[in-house]
Amino acid sequence: METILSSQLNPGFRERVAGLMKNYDFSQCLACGMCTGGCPYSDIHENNDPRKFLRKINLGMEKEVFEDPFIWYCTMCERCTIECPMEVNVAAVVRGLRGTWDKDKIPGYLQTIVTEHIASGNQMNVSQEDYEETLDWIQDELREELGDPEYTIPLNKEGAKYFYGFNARDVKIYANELQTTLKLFYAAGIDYTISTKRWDATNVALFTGQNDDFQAISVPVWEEFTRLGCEQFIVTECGHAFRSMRWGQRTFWKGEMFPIRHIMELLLELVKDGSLKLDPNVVTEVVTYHDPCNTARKEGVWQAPRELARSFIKNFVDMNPNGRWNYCCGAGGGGMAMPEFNEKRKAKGKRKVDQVMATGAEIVIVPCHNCMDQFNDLNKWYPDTKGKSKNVHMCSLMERALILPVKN
Amino acid sequence: MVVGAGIAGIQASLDLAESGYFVYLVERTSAIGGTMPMLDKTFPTNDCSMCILSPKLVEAGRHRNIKVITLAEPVGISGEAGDFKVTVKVQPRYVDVDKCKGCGDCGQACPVTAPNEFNQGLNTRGAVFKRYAQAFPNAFAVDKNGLSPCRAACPAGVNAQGYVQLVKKGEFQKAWQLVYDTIPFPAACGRVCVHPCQEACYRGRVDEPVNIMYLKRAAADFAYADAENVRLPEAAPPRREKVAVVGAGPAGLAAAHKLVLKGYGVTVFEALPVAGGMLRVGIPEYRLPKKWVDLEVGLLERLGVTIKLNHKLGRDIQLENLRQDYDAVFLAVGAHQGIRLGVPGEELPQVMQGVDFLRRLALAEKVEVGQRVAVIGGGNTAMDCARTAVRLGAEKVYVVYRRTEEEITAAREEIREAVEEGVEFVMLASPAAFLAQGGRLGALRYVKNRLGEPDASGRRAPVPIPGSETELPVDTVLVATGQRPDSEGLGEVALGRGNTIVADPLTLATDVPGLFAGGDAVTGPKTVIEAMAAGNRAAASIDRYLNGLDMAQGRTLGVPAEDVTPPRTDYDRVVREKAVVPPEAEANLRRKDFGEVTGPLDPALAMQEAQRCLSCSGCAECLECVRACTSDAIDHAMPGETIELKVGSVILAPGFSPYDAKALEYYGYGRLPNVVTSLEFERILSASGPYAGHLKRPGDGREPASIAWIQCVGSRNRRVEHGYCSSVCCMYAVKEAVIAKEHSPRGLDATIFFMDMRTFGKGFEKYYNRAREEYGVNFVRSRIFEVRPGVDDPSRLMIRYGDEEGQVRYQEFDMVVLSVGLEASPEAVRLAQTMEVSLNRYNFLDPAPLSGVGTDRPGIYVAGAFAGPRDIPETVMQASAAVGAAGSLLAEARGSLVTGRTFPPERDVAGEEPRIGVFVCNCGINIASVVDVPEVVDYARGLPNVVLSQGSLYTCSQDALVNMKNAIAENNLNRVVVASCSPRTHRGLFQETLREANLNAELFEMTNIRDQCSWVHQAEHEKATAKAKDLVRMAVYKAATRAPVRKVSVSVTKAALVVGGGVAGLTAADCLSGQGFEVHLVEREDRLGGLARRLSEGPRGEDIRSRLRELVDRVTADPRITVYTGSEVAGVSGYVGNFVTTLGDSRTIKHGVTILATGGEPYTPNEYLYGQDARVVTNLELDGMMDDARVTGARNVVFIQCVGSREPGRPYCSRVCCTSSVKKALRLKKDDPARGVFVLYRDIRTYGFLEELYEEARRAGVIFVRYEPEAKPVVEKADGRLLVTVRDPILGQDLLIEADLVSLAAAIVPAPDNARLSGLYKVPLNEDGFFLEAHMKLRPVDFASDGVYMAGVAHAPKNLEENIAQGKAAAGRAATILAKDHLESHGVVAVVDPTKCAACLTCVRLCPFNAPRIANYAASIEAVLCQGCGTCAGECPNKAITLQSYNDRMYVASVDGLFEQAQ
Repeated sequence: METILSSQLNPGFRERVAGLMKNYDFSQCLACGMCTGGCPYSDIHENNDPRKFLRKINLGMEKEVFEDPFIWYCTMCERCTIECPMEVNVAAVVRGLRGTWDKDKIPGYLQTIVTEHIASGNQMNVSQEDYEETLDWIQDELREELGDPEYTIPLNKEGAKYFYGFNARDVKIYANELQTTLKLFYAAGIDYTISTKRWDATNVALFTGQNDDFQAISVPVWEEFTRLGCEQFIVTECGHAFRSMRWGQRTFWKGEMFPIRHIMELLLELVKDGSLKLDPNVVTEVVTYHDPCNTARKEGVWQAPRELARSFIKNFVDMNPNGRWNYCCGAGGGGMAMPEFNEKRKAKGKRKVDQVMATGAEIVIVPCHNCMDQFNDLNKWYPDTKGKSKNVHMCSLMERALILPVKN
Repeated sequence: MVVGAGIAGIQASLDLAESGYFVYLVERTSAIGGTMPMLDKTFPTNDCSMCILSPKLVEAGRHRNIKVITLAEPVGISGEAGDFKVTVKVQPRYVDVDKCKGCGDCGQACPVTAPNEFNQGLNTRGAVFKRYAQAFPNAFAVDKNGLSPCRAACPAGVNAQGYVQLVKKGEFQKAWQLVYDTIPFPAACGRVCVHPCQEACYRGRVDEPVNIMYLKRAAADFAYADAENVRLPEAAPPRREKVAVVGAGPAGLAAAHKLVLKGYGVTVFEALPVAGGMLRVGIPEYRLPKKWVDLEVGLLERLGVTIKLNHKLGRDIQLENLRQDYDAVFLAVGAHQGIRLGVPGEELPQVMQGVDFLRRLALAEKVEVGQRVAVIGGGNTAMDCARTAVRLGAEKVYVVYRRTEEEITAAREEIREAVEEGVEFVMLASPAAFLAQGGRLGALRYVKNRLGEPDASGRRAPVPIPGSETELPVDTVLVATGQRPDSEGLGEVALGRGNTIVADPLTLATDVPGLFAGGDAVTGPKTVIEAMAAGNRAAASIDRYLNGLDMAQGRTLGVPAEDVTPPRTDYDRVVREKAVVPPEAEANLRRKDFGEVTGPLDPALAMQEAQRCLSCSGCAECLECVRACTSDAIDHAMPGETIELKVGSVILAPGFSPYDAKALEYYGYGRLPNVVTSLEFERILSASGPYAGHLKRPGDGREPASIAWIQCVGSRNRRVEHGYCSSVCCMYAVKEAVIAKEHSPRGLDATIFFMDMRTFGKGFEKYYNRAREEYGVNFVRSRIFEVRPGVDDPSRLMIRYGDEEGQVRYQEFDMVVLSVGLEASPEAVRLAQTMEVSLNRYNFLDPAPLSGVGTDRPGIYVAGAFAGPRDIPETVMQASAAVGAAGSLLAEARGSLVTGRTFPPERDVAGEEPRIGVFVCNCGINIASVVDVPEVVDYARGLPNVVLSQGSLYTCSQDALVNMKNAIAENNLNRVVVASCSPRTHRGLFQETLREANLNAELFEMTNIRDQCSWVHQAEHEKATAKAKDLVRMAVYKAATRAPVRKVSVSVTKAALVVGGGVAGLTAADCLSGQGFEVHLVEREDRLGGLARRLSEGPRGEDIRSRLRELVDRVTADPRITVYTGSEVAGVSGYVGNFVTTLGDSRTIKHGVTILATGGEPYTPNEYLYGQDARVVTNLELDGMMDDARVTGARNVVFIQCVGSREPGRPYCSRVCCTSSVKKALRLKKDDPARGVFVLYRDIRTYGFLEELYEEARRAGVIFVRYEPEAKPVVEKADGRLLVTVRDPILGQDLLIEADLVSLAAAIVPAPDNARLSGLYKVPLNEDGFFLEAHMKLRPVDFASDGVYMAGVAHAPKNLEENIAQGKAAAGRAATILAKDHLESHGVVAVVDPTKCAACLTCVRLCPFNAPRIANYAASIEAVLCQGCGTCAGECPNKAITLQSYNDRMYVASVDGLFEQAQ
């Protein structure tokens, strides 16, 4: 191995990296190795050890740090430092460094998505016309399905209790998923609204670390919420959308704070108070639940989904570990949008495959769109094992068990 | 006052008491000892912790000038240094310490099983317990913790936990008695009570509540199996007052029960032809067979209650007459009148009132129902009616209720059983009319309801739905919608809503004096237990009324919430277990007759169910202990007290708490049973622990083949706000690993996961090396991420970790030990608040800088782990230092409060024939239950020279000791033999009695027939008795040869010699002078100050130079201190109390004690180009050149650690260098952040709060690079550049530093003079050349020879703060000699027969205490120095030396005695 020369070290480098983050949180690192043991992937492929990466920063190895592929390999899942005794947050350091990147040189098509999102107001570049047409179509479908010709999607309703923010994929690719969710809302009879102006809660700048982009994407959404004067912001199942909304609000929102909740927290509440009735005898398969890191570890939502799942699923089994100790699916940190690292993503995903297989689950609830894409890839990559279990969103599974209220 | 009786508190108390102060030793728990008794072995000597502590416990416990106050906590302080007033709150012990003999009979009898906190909850103890076997006071204590939730929830306050615990032990009869003490209907209540106790039961928070009610029934069933012979409570002596009770229901009879037991004449008037009220005529046979009610009514009659049946108020008797004829009247007429619905058709004969229906059946009247029965109502009466109708043969039975299942008031199990029996429920239905058909009832018309808003009862009110009338064909209706009292005959008595009698809710007094009312008659229909509660309350009021007392004073309705035991937090450790359910008759069978539905609970099952009780409040007050105690020591009503003590100074030594590892869920503690804490592991290893010293896993008792230790659990962790290092964990983990390996004959894989191995104490590094090299303990440098269940065997534990090379590894172990850190206990924090002293950010009482023991309140000092995590020697040292400091403050008061003990002159027994008295102890039943004591007493009487032989219940009790003293005088005894328990605890006591009786203490002989006979031969009474006789005979033979031993006394020169004028010596001199003693301070150099002169700044930024100047000036100016600079000790003679030291210039100094504080020296490196390149300096040199341009201009500075330390030839850690380098590195980095500052180290040893400095240095950008001793950094010169190469272990790459300055952390080496002084004062050095203390743990500043002490680096490397503490400690210890006018020899010393002595020097060489000297060609032993160990006597080749009281003749006599009988 090459010798490190003190003349090449920059004693001010760590100070500079610290400046990228609000909290100076890594230089007290003890190099104890807890993160190496905690990272699910430090032994999957090379250049994947958080301790080594931090060591380079702390030594002042500026050049080597910027050349270290760890910055883009890291899935930013935060498992390594969840209990770091020195309160270091490797994901925060990684994001800080990514934020220094020349936007043209960001791997994959992460920046393309960001740029399009800023331009179109949503990450899939859906036009306003297409969006409204899709909503119309969903409305028509639901009228038929519900047998209620009066049914209308509450759009831009001022003063509604809930503002529902979702993922552009729900409009462009999986409109049926949005339809499912709205059906649940209908069954529960809640007072909610969907904006026709700003509705995409996702923000890929969460992964690129570019804070100017982040604000350009998310601030208009919060402004739209404020304009409509709603009580609570409900975010779709998607983990990174949820994290973007919550973390982004804490970090960048200058207006009045308002509650941002995960849709599963709301659905659980509705099941508990009897507004939403589910038939416990419909879902009989063995089902497990994947915790998106952004939802569970980073934002603390892992109990509600389980309680919700157990309320109607007969054979629910947990993966081990789970909850705030879960393993990342292998595609965190924007991994899906960096095809050049697909081989590594596949290798990382094997750990998740093994975990699912150990449960014997026939169905995996994968709440996050990003995790869902990875899970679907894993089904293709590991057809003999993982390929046998089906990946679904929580709402889709709930729809199967949904008992629609009898009309008066 | 010393607060906290761990080793710090005990040492401080002993030192204070020995230096002439009276001490209050205040301890929070029931025994002194603290944490040390819990530990198995101690590092680095592997001594048994309990064995070395035990003598100190006895000494502190028995010391005349130490008053131990247990279960006590200071709650307030006023005044100032020298004159404090401390308020101390003392919790009741419930055991009289003077009466308790510690025999343990109460503990055996106690049914409660509570977690044994001393054993870290690994096993259980009783609610009456002694903390540990060797505890002082040697007395039990009762653990009471409020009122159990079950007892608090019972309206009548029945002691549910008490009887459940008795049932658990199979004491059914006593359980029944305990219930019967409170209520007269245990059998009835055990069947039909609504059991609020079970709703409150904390077991319900774990799985299901304990089935308390059925346990009560089990107790009653057992007692009544032989009802004739049940033991009824004793009534008080008869009184002349008479009380009339109207109504023989549960309320009336409960009052009668209480009143008759108080001695009153009680007559109960009952309207019905049977007694028992609703119990008898309201509850159907299948729930409560009448025979039980009749039996329990009969018991009341046996107690003397007169019951007059068929006496109805207003009909047969008049209230006015009763009031005239009786001194008080209690109205308990119940509520027996059904309430009419007011619905058309109600007058039809087939529409009956439910209560009437049930009553008539109970009175054996003929009552019939039709085929289709509707019961109106949703209460328990409705269920009773419905289920009775089923049994009477109805085909269809409906319960018609106006609300829903949610609101129904009947008990859940009643509803369930009714449904099982085929009863149908018509909910949300109100009767509108009863329709006749052919003159008979044909149908019920009802209207359907919906639920509206909540009504006054809080339940949602039914609202009729118009047009919803429905008809239900029925031929019988039973109305059960409520009852009200019958007001007939009440005359002027005020009535309230629903005909109820108005009475004061608390006292149950009516407006009419002497007239009371209670039960359903006052409240409307309620439960049986509430009725009995009312009866009890009324009885208490009547008793007060008849005694002219205030009826309300001090009484409350219900139990205040704060009196109820709070739920515990560790319920997750309780093993889940379903409640035992009694057998139940099958629904199909039971609906056919009135046989009891619920069968009896098998006694074994009842005991099993009672096991589930969590003993919430600790003591259950079942009083088994009181019954078991033969010395009448237990008093459950003992009050607590608050006392005020006047003291001059306070030493705080409350110790620490182990970190609660549950907070770090990733280690699995509390979840995975084979993950234990280090303190639990100590108990597992301990021979006195829960597994008797067998290394087993708590989860399954299996012996582990591999154990992992995880370091820094709750230490060095910012996330949990424990940023400090706990200092002791590395060493204790290494020790535990070594001991565990010794415990495992089949080999044990022991692995320690750590970050920095902090073995910085004296002798620690060698221990670490031995653990690695000789014992094969594995050391892995990694902070592991988590502990998970094993892959194949989930009882094993899997650890995934990043190893030193950065590889991820998986390893499974059988067991994991968490090395939990030390934290400040909440009690200690409270104490600090009370004492108004400041704590640091971690809630420790970090002593004031460079004080060692000072707090920010003058007169209050701190010692032990509360002053910051520290090990035992440092704790003991600090305790003595606090004594030194307190002694300086209170010098004037010394000797003013202590009392000595004077004994009458000894009688000269020389030449007398032995006259032996033998005293044999029964020890309550401890000895007597196995050994036939009278037989032993008789037997002893026949032994030679025995003139008296007696037995006694407790020979150690005060009266028995007085008796012994009298017996000695009366019988002119000159020898005494006691056959009882252990001489270790009791010999001193008996010897004092001999002294009081004019006998020399050595005329006493003791033999232990408890441990050696009754305890070890419990099942063999005859053999045990025979052995006791043998032991007594041996003792008698030996006693006959005993001779008096005279103590030698010498005077004390009240001056100290301190050798060494560094900080330790200066501090010791200063502290001794402060205590009023003359001091001679000898310093080799021309100036005082030692090495500290070369230091500028302490680790916490202390200005060392000015502090040192102050100290030197003070010492120099002190008139009591004579300073001899430029002088050396040349010769020494004398011994403790009377040394004469000659200096080099022939001046002589007379002194009573000597303190060696000779310091140390810096090692001169010959590595890393030191001496060859000016840029390579030592840390000490760097300290002097911080402002030099060579430093200020340096771009890259490299520190290299362990230069000369931890190396072959100098294998110890120099302790101070890590902190010193980190401190300097931090300063250099702060001065110029652009500079590269590197610290190359092996383990960073910034222990305790110094860890903060290390963290600060990392944050500031100092780079730490660890190196292995096999691959040390290389320092080279190339082209004038100074190059340092070291391998970075994390990146696995070499780091090449172009250094401008290299600073070496050079070792500390002992002072060269040590060897010479060692010879002069005859005190030993260790292998490294530092002075060797008397005991590594408990005598850290003493030498084995009395009167010589050490302080500072002379003992081992240490920092300035620690030097100061040890200087004060040496002064504190020295004062224990100087405070005395005379020193007395230990009683038992060795003596030389000069005629046999060949002056061979064997004894001189062997004696660790320097007692023998040669004079006139023969050895003589200085009695004051001799410790009586007997080594010299054993080794003397010519048998010239004998140890008094242990001579051959005595033992030969003893053995002769043993075989005398056999021949």
